[in-house]
Order: sequence, then C-alpha cells, then structure tokens
Amino acid sequence: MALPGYGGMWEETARGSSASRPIVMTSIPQQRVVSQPGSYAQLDDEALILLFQRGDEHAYRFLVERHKERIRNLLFSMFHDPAVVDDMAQEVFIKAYQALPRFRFESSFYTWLYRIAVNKSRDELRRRKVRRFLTFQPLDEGMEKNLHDKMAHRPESHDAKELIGMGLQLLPEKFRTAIVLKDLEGLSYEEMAVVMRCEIGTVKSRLSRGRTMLRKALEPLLKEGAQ
Amino acid sequence: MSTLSPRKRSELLSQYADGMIADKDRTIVEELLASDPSAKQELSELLRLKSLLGGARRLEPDIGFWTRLSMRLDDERQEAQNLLPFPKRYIPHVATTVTLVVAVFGFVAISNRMPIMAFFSKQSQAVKEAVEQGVLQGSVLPLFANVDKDQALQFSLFGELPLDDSTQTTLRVDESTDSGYRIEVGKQTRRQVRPVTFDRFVDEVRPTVDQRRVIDSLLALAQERIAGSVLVGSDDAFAVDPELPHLNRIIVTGIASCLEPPQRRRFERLLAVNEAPYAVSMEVKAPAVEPSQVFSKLRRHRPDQFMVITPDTAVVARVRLDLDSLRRLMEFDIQRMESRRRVLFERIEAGEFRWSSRPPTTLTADSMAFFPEGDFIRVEVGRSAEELPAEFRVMVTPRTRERSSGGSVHIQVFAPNPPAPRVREVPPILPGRDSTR
Repeated sequence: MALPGYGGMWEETARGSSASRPIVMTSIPQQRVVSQPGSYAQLDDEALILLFQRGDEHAYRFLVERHKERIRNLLFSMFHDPAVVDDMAQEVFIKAYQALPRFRFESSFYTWLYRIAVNKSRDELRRRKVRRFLTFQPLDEGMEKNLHDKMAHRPESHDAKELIGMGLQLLPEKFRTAIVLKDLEGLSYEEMAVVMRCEIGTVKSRLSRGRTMLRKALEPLLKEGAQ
Repeated sequence: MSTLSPRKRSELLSQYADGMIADKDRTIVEELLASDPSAKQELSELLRLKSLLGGARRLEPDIGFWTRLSMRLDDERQEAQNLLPFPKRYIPHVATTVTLVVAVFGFVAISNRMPIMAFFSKQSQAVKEAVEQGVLQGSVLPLFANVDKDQALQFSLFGELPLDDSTQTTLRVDESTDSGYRIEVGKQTRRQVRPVTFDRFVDEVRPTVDQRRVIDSLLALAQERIAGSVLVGSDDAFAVDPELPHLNRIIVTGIASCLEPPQRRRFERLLAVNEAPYAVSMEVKAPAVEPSQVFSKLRRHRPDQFMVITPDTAVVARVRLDLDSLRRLMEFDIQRMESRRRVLFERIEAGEFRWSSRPPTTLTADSMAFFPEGDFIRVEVGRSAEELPAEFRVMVTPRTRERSSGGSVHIQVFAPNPPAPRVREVPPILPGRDSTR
C-alpha cells in the first residue's frame, strides 16, 4: 500500500496487521522500521531527510520544529541578543533547506545544522567587527567595563545567568563556540570537532583556554560560589 | 608532576571536570589534586563555571518560527525562478541606479554633444573610407574609354551604347519605370534602329555653325562623362555612376535649348521618329539658352558616388577617380589599354564575370537595388533623375506610354497660353522594346 503523499516510496512489510503494520523504507539499504502510516513526527531525522530529498518538502517542517530551539539557543548563547536570534536562525534553516538535497549522511543532522549555525555566527561576528572598525567603535569595551563593574560590587546580587552571558561575549569567537557547544549544548568532543571542523586536541585546547579566560572574567562570582 | 605546564594543567583539569579524561591523565590529575590546593581550587571553579553555564538563560520556545520561515522559504523558491541576474528585492535599487546612470550619461552626452557627434562622424567616415578602399582595389579600366562623337550622341538621345561594334553587350539607361530609373549592362535585346549619327542630326535639325560648335562641346563633355561613369576594377569590381541618366537629360536639354524653336521642332521629330526614350517639352517661342548655362551645369557634376558591385558585395561607395590622369595614361599606352579592354569585353561576352551569381541586393538608404541579370547586371534607382534648372525653359522627360492606346507614345508640347496640352501621336513601340522594360 502506497501512502498518500509518499509517492509509492513506502511499502508494507509482511508483518503486522493492516491497521498497525509498520512501514519499511525499501529504498534504503539498511531497512529500518520507522513509523506508523502518516506520522511524520515519529520519523527520525534521517528518514525525514530522505523524504525531503525525494521531493516531500513537508518533511522539512518536522526537521525545523525538532531542532529550531537548539539552534535559537545556540545563537542566543553566541550573541546574547534576542533581537538577532530569530533572523539568524531563519537564515540557518534556509541555508539548510538549500543544502539538504546534497546531505550525505556523514554526520548527524543536528551536528550538520550546528555547523551551519556556527559558520553563520562566525560570519556575523566578522561582519560586526568590520562594521565596528569602519565606524571607529571600540571593541566590546562597554560590555567588559559593565561586567567588571558588576563583578567588583557584590556579584552575588546580580543575575548569574546574565553575568555568564556577558562573560561569554568577551571571549574570542572560537573559544566562545567551544564553551557553548560543550557546556550549554552538551556536545561530545567528537561532535564538537565535527562542528568546528578541527581536531579533537584542538577542541580540548580551545575549551580549556576559553574556560580559563571566562574564569578570570567571572572570578569573584566563581570564588563566592566555590566557598 | 612538576613537568606539567600551566596550560597543560588547565587542559587536564578541564577534561577532568567534563569527565572525559583518559585513564593515564586521570591518575595525573588526581595526584595533582591531592598535592596541590590551587589545582583543587581551579577544579572547584571549573565545576562552578560548568554549573553556571549549564543553567544559563535559555529562550522561550518560538511557536511562530515555522510560519515565518515558510514565508521566507517561499520567497527563496520564487527567487530561484528569478531570471534576473540579481535578487528581485533589489529591483528598486537597480532601477534607481540605472535611471541615475542614464541621467548622468544623458547630461554628459548633451553637454558634450558636439565633440561626441564629431567623434562618431569621424568614426563613420573612417568606416566608410575603409569600405571604399576595399571594394574597388587596384587599377580601374573605363568600360567606355573611346566613345566618339556619334556614340556620345547616340547614347545621349537613346540611352543605349554598345560596348563595341563586335559585341552585343550594351549599356542602357531606362527612365520608363514609374518608381525611378534603371541602368543596365547586358546583351542587346532592343530592335536595332538606324543609328543617329552626328551628320544625320545636322542634316535633319540644321543647326547653325555656332550651334554646332556648342553641340560639339556638349558631346565632348558627354564623351568624358560616359568614360568616367562605368568602370571595371582589376579585382572584377564593377562600378557605375547611379546619376548616369542625368547625362542624357543634360545633353538633350542642352541641344534643345541652344536651338531656335523651328529647329527644336525638327529635333523633337527626330527623337520621336527614332523612338527616343526622351521627349522635349518646350515653350514654343522660347529663345535659345546661353551655352554657358548648359556647360556650367554639365561641368558641375563629377561622379564620385558609385554603385560598386564585386563578386562579394554591393555597396554605394565614394570612388576618387582622376579621369584626366586616366585619359593621359590611356593615350600614352593605348595599345596595352586597348588590349586589356579587348580581354575584358571577351570575358563579358563569355559570361565569365561572377556578378550574375550574386543575390539581388537592396541598399535602402540609397534607394538603390542591384539585380543580377542572366547575362549581366541591372541597377535600379528608386528616385527620379535630377530635374534641370528652370532657366533652361526646356523640359526633357521620359517619353510616357499610355496603356489605352495600345503602346503608342505621346509627346506633350506645352503652349504658353492656353496651357492645355496638345497631343501628338507617334508610331507605337515594338514588342521587342517592351520586353526590356
């Protein structure tokens, strides 16, 4: 039985009843039982991507719904600015939409998506740096002074989440990315290496250096908490 | 333990805090923590930092994200179908930029129109000269170099001139078409008429001695003009003066205007009886015109614009021809020139020229068209030959043919008062002549 909207790509297995029989994607070499008929939400990322690559654009919506919050929060952690998150997240998913037909399943979808988001962030940060340079604006001096003032006078009275966000903004992009991917998004070193396109040793080094710099920036807050 | 650099120590502590440290490094870190309070403090801060980062602010879920994204995706899809070399959203910017550029260029062009026009004029002149220099290369040979007085008179009155006594190829001008006139070089197809020699002309018109002198001079000018009007280049280019029929009018007008009225009537009778293609209309009692007026008009026209037809092209081009030098050369080396002309005639008779294989070509800007004929070529000019000034008081026109009269030719002679035309019938044109028109 071909499912509506699936273009005959799916077919029944010999198992199960007609009402609840699982569906097998026969065109994939490694046969996987993926879903009840018509339920996109229960399909995993790879199945949705295959559907998309075979012309079912509806599948992309479920990929977006599944990963949009991770991408939005990643971008928020990178920029600490809700105003830019929405626009950049949309750009990330538009880029993914354009590149998804060429996705080769060499990494997980969310890792691939993170890589797009990190690249976008890097481009945006470079763009801001150039803009600041051209307009003779100081590089993050305001943010640094603000954080320093808050650290100097009773840091415990301030919102720790806010201070953490400000501290992250003072880090260079590659250190900031490493900390965000590890400590906020919970990626493994291996996944981080894929996203950041570098060796695992480099990931460890950047993470350590970024943490050292962040510890220094937030020292009063951390000492107070450690005691 | 003491060999650990601060950087390496921090890296190991960082990995230890993540719980992702290799076993051999774990031992090192644990020994370090046991022996070094500062390491313990650093680890404590690292764990505190990780804890704070883990609890960092997160955004509220955005339930309208897909709606907005799908709209942008629709835009992207439409943009993918955009054939413009830039995104559609830039159309207003591009339009504004193009308008500004056009306005600026327009302003600059208007401000500097004279130098610009001079530049393009110079360019077009250069192109024209290049074409002209290319289409008629090498030495040229007048097709009619040795036209005698009888031949000049024959051509002037009847518009026909054979290349040579021994050939059938003839130069013809024909103004009988409604839309202009023709110049043809081809095999003779008309009925052979008794040639009107100068002696016969004198016998019938009976000009005075002074009038004969004027007519002699006119015919001498006609000889020169005919010689310079039809040329053949060494590269087989054929050039013809498209204003050649003007010569016939000038000569016929010149002859008629220097005659007294009775002589003019005899002249017109001579033309009519011999089926000349031109008719002379005149004021009955108009006195003879000063010969100088005729000569000045005839001398003023020196052909420089030629219709040039080569095996490859057909163009109207300016040909600078020094006829005097050419004539001197011919007189100096008459033997060789005559021999060249003889070869040329033989080639024309044998149909060796490739002009006839060229497709018909129309030069719209010059109202001219070239048609290959079976044996030679025909040039049609889509405008009337230039009218002569009114002071001649003698009008030479193509002899009109009325269809209703079965091919008769009518000559209209206008009397000053009353102005109604008097119509005189002349013998009909023979079929052989009709077929050439």
